[in-house]
Amino acid sequence: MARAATPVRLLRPEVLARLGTLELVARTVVDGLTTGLHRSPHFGFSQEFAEYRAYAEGDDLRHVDWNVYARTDRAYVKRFEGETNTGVTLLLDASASMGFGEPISKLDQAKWLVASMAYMTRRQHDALGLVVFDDGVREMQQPSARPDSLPRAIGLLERTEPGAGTDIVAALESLRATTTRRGLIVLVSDLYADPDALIEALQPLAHAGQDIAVFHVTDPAEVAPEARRVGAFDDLESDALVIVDPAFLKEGYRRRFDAHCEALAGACRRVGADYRELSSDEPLDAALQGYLRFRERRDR
Amino acid sequence: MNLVAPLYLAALAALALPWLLHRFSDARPERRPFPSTRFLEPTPPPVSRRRKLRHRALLALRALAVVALALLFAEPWIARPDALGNARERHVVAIDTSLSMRAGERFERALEAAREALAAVPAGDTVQLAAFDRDVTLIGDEPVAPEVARDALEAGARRGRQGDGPLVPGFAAADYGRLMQRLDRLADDAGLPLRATLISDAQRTSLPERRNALYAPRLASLDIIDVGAGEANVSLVAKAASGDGAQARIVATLVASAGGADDAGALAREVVLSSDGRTLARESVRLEPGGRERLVFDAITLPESVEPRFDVALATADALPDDDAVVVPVGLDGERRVALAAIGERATDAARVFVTTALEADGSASVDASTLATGQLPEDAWRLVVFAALGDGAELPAELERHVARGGAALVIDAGRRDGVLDGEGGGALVADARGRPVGRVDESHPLALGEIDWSDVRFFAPGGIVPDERDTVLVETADRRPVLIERASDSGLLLLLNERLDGGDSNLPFQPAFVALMRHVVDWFDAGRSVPERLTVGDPLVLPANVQVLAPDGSPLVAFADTASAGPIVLDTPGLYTVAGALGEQTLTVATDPRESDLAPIDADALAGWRDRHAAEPPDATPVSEGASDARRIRRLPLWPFVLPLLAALLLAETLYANRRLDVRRDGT
Repeated sequence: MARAATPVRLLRPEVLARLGTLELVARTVVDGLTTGLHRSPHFGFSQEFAEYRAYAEGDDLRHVDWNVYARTDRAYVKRFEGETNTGVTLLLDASASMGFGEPISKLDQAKWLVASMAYMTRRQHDALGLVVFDDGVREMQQPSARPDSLPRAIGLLERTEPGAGTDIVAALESLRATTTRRGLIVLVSDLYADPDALIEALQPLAHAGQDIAVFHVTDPAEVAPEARRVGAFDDLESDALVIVDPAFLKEGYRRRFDAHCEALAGACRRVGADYRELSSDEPLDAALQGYLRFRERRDR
Repeated sequence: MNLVAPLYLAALAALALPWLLHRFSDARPERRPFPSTRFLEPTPPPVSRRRKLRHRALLALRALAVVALALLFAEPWIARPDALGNARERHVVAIDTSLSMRAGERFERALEAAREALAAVPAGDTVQLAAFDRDVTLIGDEPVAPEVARDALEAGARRGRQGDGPLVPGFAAADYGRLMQRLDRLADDAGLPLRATLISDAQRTSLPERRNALYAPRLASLDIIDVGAGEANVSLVAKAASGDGAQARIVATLVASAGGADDAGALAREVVLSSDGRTLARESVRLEPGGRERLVFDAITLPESVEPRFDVALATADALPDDDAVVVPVGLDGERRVALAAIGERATDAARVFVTTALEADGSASVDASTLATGQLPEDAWRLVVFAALGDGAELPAELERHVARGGAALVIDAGRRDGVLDGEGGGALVADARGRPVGRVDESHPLALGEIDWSDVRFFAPGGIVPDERDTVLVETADRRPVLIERASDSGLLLLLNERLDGGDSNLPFQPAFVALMRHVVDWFDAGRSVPERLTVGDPLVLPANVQVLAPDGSPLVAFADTASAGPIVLDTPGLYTVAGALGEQTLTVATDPRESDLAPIDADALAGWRDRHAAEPPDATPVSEGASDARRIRRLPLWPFVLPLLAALLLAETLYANRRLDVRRDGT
């Protein structure tokens, strides 16, 4: 039977931009999202079944496995891995290239996404970690289930501004060196990196049992730049100035960029990571919901 | 192609602007930030492409627009061969067509003089023919070649012999002052030296009162050709009146010209009085030059006609036949008929007697009381005395409003009953011991001439019932400021309100001589305010009231009823008896010839010489026209701006459309 389409509010970026604080953005996105998904019993980043335990007073009756009860006449409750305080580490690319985009920059959209995920993580009582990087790790907040982990993460995000160049590999290696527990790693970046190098950086994490999700943040003016005249394009992360003919932008650049995206997606597939493109003009709740449903289907 | 202001061609240097714009506008690439240039490949346009002109069609449009703009300021023109362009001078030949030109062979001589004047115009010069009396009429819109002017003169003369067109003597008086001022304006507009030839009988009475008006400083020269012959002339005017409606008294006045060839001796004339072709009387008279004689035909039996008229004429026509005979309508003395009427209220016998007696005193008017008992206004009466109840703020009866609106005149006497009397008791009866109130104020500035009436013995015992409103002007009021005589404003007619019953109870006014004088003044004022006069001179403007019809002497309609509501003053230019018919009957209007034209005395030789000398032509070589200027005049300039301006507009429009469509650039800069 086909499932009924879940209503989505379609919170467009310009609407989120008016909300002001990141916390409010996160609450608005996530609360609306979970309201629409409340019939799903298996919602969350940690969906893997772990074990049964005997029913105790105060447990949610929805988690009672009635089949086992019918067979054994004893009540058991399903336990998922999420309930085992999984660590969720969010990596935010704050390089200069993330500051591109008008009126909503890629970094704005990325911060909203990271804030929403952080809020969702803390609602599930998971440990929350946050890494902000550009050409190196600028800020690192180790995964923690303490109540103040969310305000700290939100505060860090509020302060984050576009920085220097991008070095995703270095950031991932730093993360690998400090992470011992299995968990979920979410990378939010515009991914101006060599796909092969990205594979090499992600592979050790994947082998360590980390669940990896990669959000590739793009901007429409970056994906399909328009120019009527010859333009001098100023690289935000270097001093390079490239004079480009409009004809090349229409064909050559688009071809190269699309190939890069394909290579990134392929690299993620090779290491078992989820890859999702997120445009800066895309409604965040719709994108987030789409990704969660993807995870739900994948885990089923 | 020639240019009036070639210096403006320097603006063509602005052609460099669109060229530079198209050559270098795209040379500097637009600098824009980009997240990463790793996927960009440097692809600068080749040098040849950067340096070549782009949007050449747009550049051409812009360049042409600059050229057109520069040309527009430079005022280009092309030479167009024009026969009249050879003209070095312009000539005006003005022919007198006033009444005096009907005398003898004056007009034929004038036409012959005009032919000679046109023959003397140098080939290549231009000529304009004109006819003048009190006004100047140009024959043809533009100056023409002499041979064309000669043809126009002959054609005009032929039409004139049939009594048509401007080249025929009329009945108006000439005015040399207005002619000269018009010639002066023509000289100002001509752009060429203007030489005027004036062909006239040089009549003394046509000179303006201010002789300076004869001076036209912008005329190059003035030639006056005198076609008068100094003929003697006697003009005749007459007036007829009848005191009893049976016999008439005709007074004829004869005036002799002050000058003429035979002014050495007296002029003998015989005046014939006739009616319907039957001679009734003859009288002979001798006039000295410039003299005036008065003949009286007394006790002439009126012809049996509704409109009795007499013909008074000289037995033998003299130099100007048009002023030798007149048709005289007979006016009846004491005929000023005043109709009595009553609306709503019956007039008391006393009031009727008082009014009738006062109006008919001294035979100044006759009273028609035939419609008094009907309670309605007579349809054809113009002067009315109406008894109506106007007290207590009552409105004027509608039929009375209509009478005044049609141009009628009315004195309304308040005949309403009043219950109380201010002084004493008695319900309207004269209170013997009451002193009454005297007249306190009289509007002496009003044309009724109320200040000439002795009001000292008049006393008012009871207040009138009429309360003046904003339309009213109180002309007479009592010492305690109670209105007695009121004028109510009207656009068409005349309306007076007498706040008095005239029964002897309200006042002693009916018993006093002041009442007789008041009635006579009222009727005189009525007659003076009549909008159509009884007599006019040819050329005088006639202001017509609304809804009348004017019939010419031959009975043909001149102005229809519908036209008079919007028509301005009309000018009757033919003498005779006209009829003005309106809602209140018909009126005969006598239009007489201008007596100034009957005096054929010429201008003094010295005055004529002085007039000529003020416009003496300079010798042809004194003010030579430069050769270059002469050459310039041999061609007619055809300005090209009417072609360049639309071209410029079209270019700008095309440039806008092209730029908006191909460059995707809006004019607001977005």
